[in-house]
Amino acid sequence: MIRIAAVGDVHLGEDARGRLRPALDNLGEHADVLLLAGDLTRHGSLDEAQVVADEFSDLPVPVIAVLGNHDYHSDKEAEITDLLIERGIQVLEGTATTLRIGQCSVGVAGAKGFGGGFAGKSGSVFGEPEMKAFIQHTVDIADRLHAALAGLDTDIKIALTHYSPVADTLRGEPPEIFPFLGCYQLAEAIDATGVDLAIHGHAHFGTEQGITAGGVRVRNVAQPVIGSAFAVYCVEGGQ
Amino acid sequence: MRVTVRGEHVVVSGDVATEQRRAEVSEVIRDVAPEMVIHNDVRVVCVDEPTRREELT
Repeated sequence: MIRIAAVGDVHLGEDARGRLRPALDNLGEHADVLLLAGDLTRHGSLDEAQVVADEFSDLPVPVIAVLGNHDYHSDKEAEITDLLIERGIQVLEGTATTLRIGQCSVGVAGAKGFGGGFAGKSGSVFGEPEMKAFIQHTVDIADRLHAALAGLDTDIKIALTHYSPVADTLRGEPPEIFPFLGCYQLAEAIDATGVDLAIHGHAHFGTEQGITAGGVRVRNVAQPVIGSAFAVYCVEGGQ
Repeated sequence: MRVTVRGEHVVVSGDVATEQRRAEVSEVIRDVAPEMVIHNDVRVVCVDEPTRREELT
């Protein structure tokens, strides 16, 4: 049984420095790995990213992150990624990493994801250049997530995104904004590649539990949703 | 963050990371709409250790 801790949307800044640390100091008692589902900062500044790095570095378990839309706001996503990596936090964007926890191999593939909507209520690569660019961005990210997941050959496979792959976990958000909260293309990548668990954030007013059309459990770990420093999911796998 | 206006009342709800950010919400509304009655229902999100875990079998 592998214990996966996860949280998203912590939106740290200097005013919140150290707030999560008391709970994180005991993380090793709860989990074998910590996943961060994006929106780690408020406005994507390097000062805020420094707080994130301080908060999540030197923990007793590996830390794996994706960035969220807030982390892109100041056009410093590359610098934020470098800063977090320097401090020992793995940052995925259309990429994957593997861990060995006891006798079990765990693969995590991650990407920010993007909007676009869900079955019957989604955008398409059609019409104005702006609309085509919007949805093409969605498709490109989902394709990279698909390739990263397909490249994993591990006992447990986890998909980590900021945007949601399903509408289930958006319940509580206004339906009018669902197309800005996630897209079905992420779920298609997840369902095609034997994923055991999909983790996302972004939907503060959403709900924790959902499932893809292919039966993969989805968990929205936006901090306002889980109501704690992190959530813990136990997944069977390996011998 | 959700903002709902009902007559002269403005209700704001959602979650923020600190008490200071919660207070800033009221300050901003007071600046832009000083005549409105503010109901600040924003909560400071809990960051305690989790008290449960979910087993996915």
